[in-house]
Amino acid sequence: MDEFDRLLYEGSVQLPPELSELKPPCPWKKPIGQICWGLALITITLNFLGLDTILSAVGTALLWLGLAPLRRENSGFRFAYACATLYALLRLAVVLFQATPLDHWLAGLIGQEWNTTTGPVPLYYALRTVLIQLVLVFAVGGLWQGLKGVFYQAGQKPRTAAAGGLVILEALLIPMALIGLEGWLLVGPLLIVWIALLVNLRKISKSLDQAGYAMKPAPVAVSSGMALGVWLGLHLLMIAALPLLFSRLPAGVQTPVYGTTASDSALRTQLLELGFPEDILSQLDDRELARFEGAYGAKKEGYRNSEDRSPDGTPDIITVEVPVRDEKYGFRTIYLAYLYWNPNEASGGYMEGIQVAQDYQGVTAWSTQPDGMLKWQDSAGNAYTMPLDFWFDTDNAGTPCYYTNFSLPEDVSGPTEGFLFWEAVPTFPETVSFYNFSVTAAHKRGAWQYPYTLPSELLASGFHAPSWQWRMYQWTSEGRLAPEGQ
Amino acid sequence: MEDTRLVHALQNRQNGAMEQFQTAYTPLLRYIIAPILPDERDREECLSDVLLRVWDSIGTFDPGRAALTTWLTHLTRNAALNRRRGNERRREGGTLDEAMPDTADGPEQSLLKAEAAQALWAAVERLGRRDRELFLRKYYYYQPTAQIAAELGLTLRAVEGKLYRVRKHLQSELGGVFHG
Repeated sequence: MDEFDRLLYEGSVQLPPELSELKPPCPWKKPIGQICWGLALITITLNFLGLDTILSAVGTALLWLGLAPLRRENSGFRFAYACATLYALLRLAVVLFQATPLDHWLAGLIGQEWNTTTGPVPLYYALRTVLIQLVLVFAVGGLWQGLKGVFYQAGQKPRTAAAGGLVILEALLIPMALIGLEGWLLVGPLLIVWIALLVNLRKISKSLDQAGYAMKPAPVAVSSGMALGVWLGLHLLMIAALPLLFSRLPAGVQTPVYGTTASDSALRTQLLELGFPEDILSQLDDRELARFEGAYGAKKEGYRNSEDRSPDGTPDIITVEVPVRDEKYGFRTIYLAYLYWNPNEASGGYMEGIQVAQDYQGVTAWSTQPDGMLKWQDSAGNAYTMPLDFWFDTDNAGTPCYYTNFSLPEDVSGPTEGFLFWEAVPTFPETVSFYNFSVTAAHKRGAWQYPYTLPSELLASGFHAPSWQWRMYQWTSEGRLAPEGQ
Repeated sequence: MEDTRLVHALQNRQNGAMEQFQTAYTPLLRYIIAPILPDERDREECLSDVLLRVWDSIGTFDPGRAALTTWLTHLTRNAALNRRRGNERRREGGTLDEAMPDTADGPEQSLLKAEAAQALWAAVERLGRRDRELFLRKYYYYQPTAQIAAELGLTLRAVEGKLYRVRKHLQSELGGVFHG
């Protein structure tokens, strides 16, 4: 102690009477305040401006920071602190998984779905929600027991009903999430009760200051502010940097194409005579051309203008319908969807998705799974093809659809073209059938996105307005399948 | 029992009032005494002394002027500091000798000290809320840096650094009053 220190101590002894109005230090005020704010920010969900992630990250840190100095007080607080640590790790893992394809991989690994009142969700999401919320319930339970312990230690009657109520309320959120209960009529009263309980928990710190001044706070290795900063920095790093590593989808099998793509044949001439677009036909090889064997008509739909390409990275879509004679069904229709990606699209190359949907309402035809191929040339002038793998799934409205996700090749000179083939077969071949379908393309405009979303997920959610991350383009066709001569 | 009812019961010398007071406030009294008196026996004696003072002087407590905890804190801190000073004097001077000159402050020195205390308080009042809390915990309540750090969720180094800055600030403000 130096001379100035001694003078400060001496001066403080004689501090003027105004100091008698000073309140004594409240060792419980800060930790209980942090815990209350932590629980409030964790439980509140605001789904805009990324607040759902930011608030829960801050809340998780505050809960942990509030419990950290109390962990030496009794076993209840120790348990709560351990649970809060586990909770923080789980929340961080969720952020990590959502920034990468891990979430989708785990959802696919578990596979099954859980039905809620708002629709089915992957079982993995339901299990994850239950696990995380359960750990939080245990943390609040530990807090409750810890607070009771402090009152018992001081020989006082526990005044911890608010903490007990919070345990019940946090536990109630588990079945509510599993059932998918929503709406203000239900959530409103619960919210009011929850706020009242939190306010009461905050007031407990005053009672604790009377009962538990003999608190033994644990030393901290890093200051609260620093811990919060590091925690949020870790989140920021994960959210900002990790998605950039997964901005493209793994490339499919790219096959070099040697020599000319098609030969002059009678079928090619016949298709041209039927009105098949010449520029598209010239891109088809013999194997693709063979699909149109027995053609007796051709109908082109779609829009393409070489001077006015889609400026936002979405492809132009042209569909060609070719009815062909069929021994078994009398006739069937071959559909070709031709997609054209502008070579000058600067934002291309991240993720693309295609959805082929059939409107089954009033339709008397059934269709096959699309079979697709991408074609392009690299900067050296070599031609390549890559198959597009479609799979069947329903969209969020329950409509059966076929999906494919892919990334456009990086080394491209000229346009990239996509060719999708499928067949529609009439249920009653002797009459005219109705067949409606849509081809929707989703284009990701930038390298970054959070949470990690596949184009097929976006396509399944419905047709969206343009956003800064995604563009969508849909081509819808309402047509008739008619036997030859009708 | 609420503070007002407890004070009223104590002032009316009701049965069991002191017992209730001890249950409710002994942790606070111990909390204030502990950093000032390092010896456990001293602490217990000081606590008994404070409880006796509370019993004797509760009649002078005016709930309109200060909260009960504030009054108790002030009372307890003064009692603990008096005991601490008494201990220090005993260690330094041994037994009291009437032949020794009186070392108590004269009127002039008392006035100077009071002025210095006024200046210190004015400077403390100008500190930010957090710095003021740190200052009071350290110099008014005599809390060790480790306790301050743990209770405020700060590292030892952070508290030492902040206290260093507070001291520097006060030193520059009180340069003419305090000569450290």
